[in-house]
Amino acid sequence: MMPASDQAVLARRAEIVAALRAIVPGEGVIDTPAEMRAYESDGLTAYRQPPMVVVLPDTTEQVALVLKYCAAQGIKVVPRGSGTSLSGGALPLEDGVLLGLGKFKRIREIDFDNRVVVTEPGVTNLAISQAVAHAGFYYAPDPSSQIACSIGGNVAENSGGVHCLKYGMTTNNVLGCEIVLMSGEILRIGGKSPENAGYDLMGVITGSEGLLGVITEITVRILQKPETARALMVGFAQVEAAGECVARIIGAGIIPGGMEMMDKPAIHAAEAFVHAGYPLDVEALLIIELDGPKIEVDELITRVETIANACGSTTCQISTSEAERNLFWAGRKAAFPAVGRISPDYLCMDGTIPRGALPKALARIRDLSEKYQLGCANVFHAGDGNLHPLILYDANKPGEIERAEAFGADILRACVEFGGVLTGEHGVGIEKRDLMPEMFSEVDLNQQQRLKCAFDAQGLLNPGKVFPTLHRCAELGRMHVHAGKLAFPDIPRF
Amino acid sequence: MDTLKVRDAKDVEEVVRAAIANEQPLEIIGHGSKRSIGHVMATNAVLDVSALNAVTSYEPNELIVTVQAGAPLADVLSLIDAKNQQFAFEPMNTAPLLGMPAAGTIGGMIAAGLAGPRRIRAGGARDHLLGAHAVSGFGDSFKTGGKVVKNVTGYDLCKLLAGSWGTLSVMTEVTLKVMPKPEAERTLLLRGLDDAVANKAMTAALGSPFDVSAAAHLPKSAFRARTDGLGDIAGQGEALTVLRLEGIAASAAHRAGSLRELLAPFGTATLVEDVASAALWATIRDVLPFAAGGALGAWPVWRIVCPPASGAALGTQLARETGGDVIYDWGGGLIWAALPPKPDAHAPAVRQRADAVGGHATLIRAAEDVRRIVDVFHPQSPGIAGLSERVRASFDPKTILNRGRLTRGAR
Amino acid sequence: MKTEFSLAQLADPDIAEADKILRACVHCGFCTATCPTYVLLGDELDSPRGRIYLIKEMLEKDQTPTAEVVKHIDRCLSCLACMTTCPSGVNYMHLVDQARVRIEQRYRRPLTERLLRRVLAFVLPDPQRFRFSMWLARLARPLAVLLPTPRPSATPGLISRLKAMLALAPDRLPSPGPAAGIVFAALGKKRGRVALLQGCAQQVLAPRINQAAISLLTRHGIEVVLVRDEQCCGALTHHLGNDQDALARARANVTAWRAEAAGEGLDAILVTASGCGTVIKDYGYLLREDQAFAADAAKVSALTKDITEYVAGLGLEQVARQDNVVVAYHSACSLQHGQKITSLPKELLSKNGFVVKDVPESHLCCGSAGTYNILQPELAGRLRDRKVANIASVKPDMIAAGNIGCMVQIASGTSVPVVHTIELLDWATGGSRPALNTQG
Repeated sequence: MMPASDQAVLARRAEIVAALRAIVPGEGVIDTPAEMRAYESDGLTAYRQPPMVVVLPDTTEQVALVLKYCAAQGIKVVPRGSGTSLSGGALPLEDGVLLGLGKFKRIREIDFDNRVVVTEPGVTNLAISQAVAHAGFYYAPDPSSQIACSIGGNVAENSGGVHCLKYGMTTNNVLGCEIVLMSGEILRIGGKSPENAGYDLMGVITGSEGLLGVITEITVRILQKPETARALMVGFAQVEAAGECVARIIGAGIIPGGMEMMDKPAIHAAEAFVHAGYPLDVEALLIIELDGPKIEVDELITRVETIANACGSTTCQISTSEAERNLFWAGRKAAFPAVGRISPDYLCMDGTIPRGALPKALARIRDLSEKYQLGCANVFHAGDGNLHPLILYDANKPGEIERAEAFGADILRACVEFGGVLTGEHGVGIEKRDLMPEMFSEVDLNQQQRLKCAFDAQGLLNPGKVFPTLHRCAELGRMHVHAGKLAFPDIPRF
Repeated sequence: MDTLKVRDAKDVEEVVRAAIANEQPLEIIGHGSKRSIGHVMATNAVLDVSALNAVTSYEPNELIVTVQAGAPLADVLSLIDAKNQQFAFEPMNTAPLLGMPAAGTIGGMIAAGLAGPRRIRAGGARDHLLGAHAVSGFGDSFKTGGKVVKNVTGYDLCKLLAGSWGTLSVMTEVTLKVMPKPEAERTLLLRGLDDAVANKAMTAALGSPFDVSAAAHLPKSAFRARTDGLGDIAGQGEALTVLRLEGIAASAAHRAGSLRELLAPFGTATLVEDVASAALWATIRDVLPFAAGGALGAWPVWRIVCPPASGAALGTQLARETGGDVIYDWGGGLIWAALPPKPDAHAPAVRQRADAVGGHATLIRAAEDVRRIVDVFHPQSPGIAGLSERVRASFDPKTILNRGRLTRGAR
Repeated sequence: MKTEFSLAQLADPDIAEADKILRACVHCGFCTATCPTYVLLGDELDSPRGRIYLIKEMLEKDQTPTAEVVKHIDRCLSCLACMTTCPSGVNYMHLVDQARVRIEQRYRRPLTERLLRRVLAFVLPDPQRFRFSMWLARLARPLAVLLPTPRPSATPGLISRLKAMLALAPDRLPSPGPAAGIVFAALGKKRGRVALLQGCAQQVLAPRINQAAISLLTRHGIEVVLVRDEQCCGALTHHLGNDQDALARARANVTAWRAEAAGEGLDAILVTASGCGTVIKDYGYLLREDQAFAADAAKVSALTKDITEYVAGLGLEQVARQDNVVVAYHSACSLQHGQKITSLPKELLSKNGFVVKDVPESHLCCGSAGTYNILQPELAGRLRDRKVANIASVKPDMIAAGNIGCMVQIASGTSVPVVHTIELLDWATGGSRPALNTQG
């Protein structure tokens, strides 16, 4: 499953731990088996592996020294933020150092004039919004785990959230970073300028799942909060009708701040946690948020309500206060873990499909649920076609995890079949790694891996993630040059 | 010099493979509308993608359009306009500034990545390129991204392709995000502010909750050149600070009212609507005051990007020092500077000022002899330059594609 | 989360309970965000998710706790912020309590630490001994300057703990409050009859709190009983993992209140220290396996109310509204996370005229947490400073809280008067003005 462990490295473990202690003193190096257990997985518990050692540096210099040491010694490194990844992006390696950024918790600068915040990567997504809230600002991307997920992890995974339909994903809201390459070299990319010079390195680092470098500082854009925001909670007797409603809203030129769908099991689980007053007798629930000046929100609410009625909605509640709007969202945001109330374990899928394929995809998921005899609660970012089927299983029952995984793989294959992609916001990680060939040819994947070589020629940073097969950089860089001169092909010339 | 007009992606692969084998670097062009941006290239054949001009698919309800890279920008814009949609990043038409006849192709628009006034709100070309098929300098056709608006599967190579000036790969087909056009637009005009005060006004507007979609400042001097698009708005030729609000009509009007109140300390703003407003912003987007056919047509033009709040200080000093003219867009974050002709185009002054605030400057328009002695693109720190070089090599190790365009003196 | 207990292990009701709790955890990590020690230290082992892992491993493998495991469990404040945050409904409280008991039973702490814990368990729950120790501490305090200043450390030694203890001792103790067994008759028409928990440390440090409660209650027609033979609720020893002592106290209290209820009757058992309230409300759970007590313990838990819960139903008479006093409301963890009483005290204060301010980061513990500020002075100090700074940011005239532990902790870091919510309510409804700027 993962790259073979380097026995030579494991044999030198004591020496490596001592060297790391010299770089990061105090409690920053964790090496007892019991303590390392806590780091054996992130939010994807189906995969677990204690690391060789955990290091928790708290300065960029320490990060650079750790990486430099590891590069010189040929030791693999897995970076980790808050460990909330749902794709196993921070799954440790038996022979690798787990580099935790949990101590990078300071916000370094708030610059309202340039509308940016400069922050360390361990700061949580929500903490950034909280730090600027007093001036009416916020940081737009809001993954459901925003209370806990770190901004560094957001950059690594290019996290989305319920509001990214209108406000974009992490990549659209990040301006610059300080990054340490595997060699230990510290680079500054971008900053407070609205656009960067040269190749868009920030753009490709965002979403690179910790394979290109370790981010130690980030500059994010902040926005003024809209004057008002209101949400509609619309119930439907059929999932298809809800899908149709989503398509018609977009078709009418309305881009809501957020547009989310939950199916019956998800509604019930979320309601049990937040008591938001979700209707329990509907098959699908849409939460549609409109934001902007009151006059606009009121107008759009009317338009959306009309569309929803035309699509046969059975219930419609419109938030009348900020508290009520937050309550509508609270259930949605906690929907994944809340499913823990109806099932001991779940696998969360993350494919994206063209919006129009929604009914088709839901029908397929129902069939697969039947086939694999496992329940499935569905939560979608309906506005952008991002599906989050939650496959319910019990890890303590033999065979269930295997069935759940096969079920999940079939869902993702269906997403690609319908013209979509394997992951909309959670990342490939370990979870979807082996499905990459469903979407990309070997040539496509080789080109991606060549890029990796530009950042980490030894392939020591987070290996085993994203790519199903690993190639040496020398092999990838080889050109297949034909012998002798070749004429340009026979095509029109001028 | 050979110009090879490719018919499909397969042709592109074959041409690039032959070029690799013959060590014969290629210049990649669509309509060639931006050929004059960058250094004089060390290429001896031209790969012309303008025949790859089909619209593969356009699905307004999915908010995406997939077109071949050689499709004319103007055609694609009218296609989506018919469905009341647009590219939210307002791609710039460089033709007037560079003195070229056509607006170019979709591929060129992405490779140059020159976004217009709405960039501060909606992002740039990089933010709207969802997927691409391209041929690398290995001669391999590959794809990246997808045809959906939300996707994080694999590295986001689209970001690298956008703004790479054709040095990483030859794009053959691209999928772009489209957005509904706003129902209405309103622009507030403040007259007679100096640059520093205008910068403060723009900062206040962009820091307000009124969802300002563009903020620009045209100093008084900008009006000594061509101002066709401005019509009556140009007025007595005082400095003009403009702020745009878009959306449904009632909302745009309401926000214009609120913003006007907020900006009262800076003067009484007047209002321009729809068609006139659109013409004004096209003037700013395409930098018409510095157009090739205008009074400053012979002056070199710099495009300086910096932290928005630093814009006025940088621009004012530069204008004073060189006797040049500047226009501010992006709330101060983008400065167009037309500077009096000089062999080095005032590069040391421009670069030093930009560096001082963490910005960067590109020499967008200059005669060939100037571009031979001046770095067109902003020099980078050794670390970033080294990484960029490795990134380039990961796509095009033999520098077959647009060799020499980004770096002075490359052979 | 997958667990690996054998059938034999699961036959133990405690393990079965732990298994149930662990299975509910989906490892989402939300709890890390609101955990004070994770916020300070950034090590997952000092977060609920990390501790859950340590406990799981210890229980599954039936291990003797290692020094590392003990270190991280000891750092837990039991503030239960994680339980408020947890979407999957993991009962961390019962899990960590179980871990503490196991540590107490199977882990041999260093001698000095054993002694210290024994002293705390011997002194704190007993008002006489506590009063005497406070007197001793006052004598000893000048000697504190003779103690060396240890380097701040997240794993404190005895010296820093002694210093912490001495620093918390007040300059002057108030005279004792009314004795057990007294019944305060309702003024006017009698509307109800309640027992008021007398508490242990609170009745020595701040008898004024219960006096305010009695004054308010009786004025509103409620007869108040100070039940004889009542003891410390057991929270202190419970959190030290000394289950035997805690359960013995629980049984004694259940017995005392059962008798009182069987006599003249009780409408409620009121608690003015929310730390105690949380545990008494959990008696039903704690004694669930005890046939002789389970049913009565559950009744006691059901009858127990925080003072604010009860007075909210009385329809307070606002005879002396205080309209211009800015009050920063400090939400005690045991109240907001343990008992889920969040907005009620603030509503009561607002209704009675006070200008109530929410404190930023109100979900974070002040560091008091029972004996935590003595056992973990460094972390407790950092949390206190953070709390005091957050409180200062709203510029209050007074700070109100519903738990004596928090009050002492916060008062040690600020000059703003710290009072109990009930004192303010008593004042606004015709009682005396709280004695400010003193701990008595």
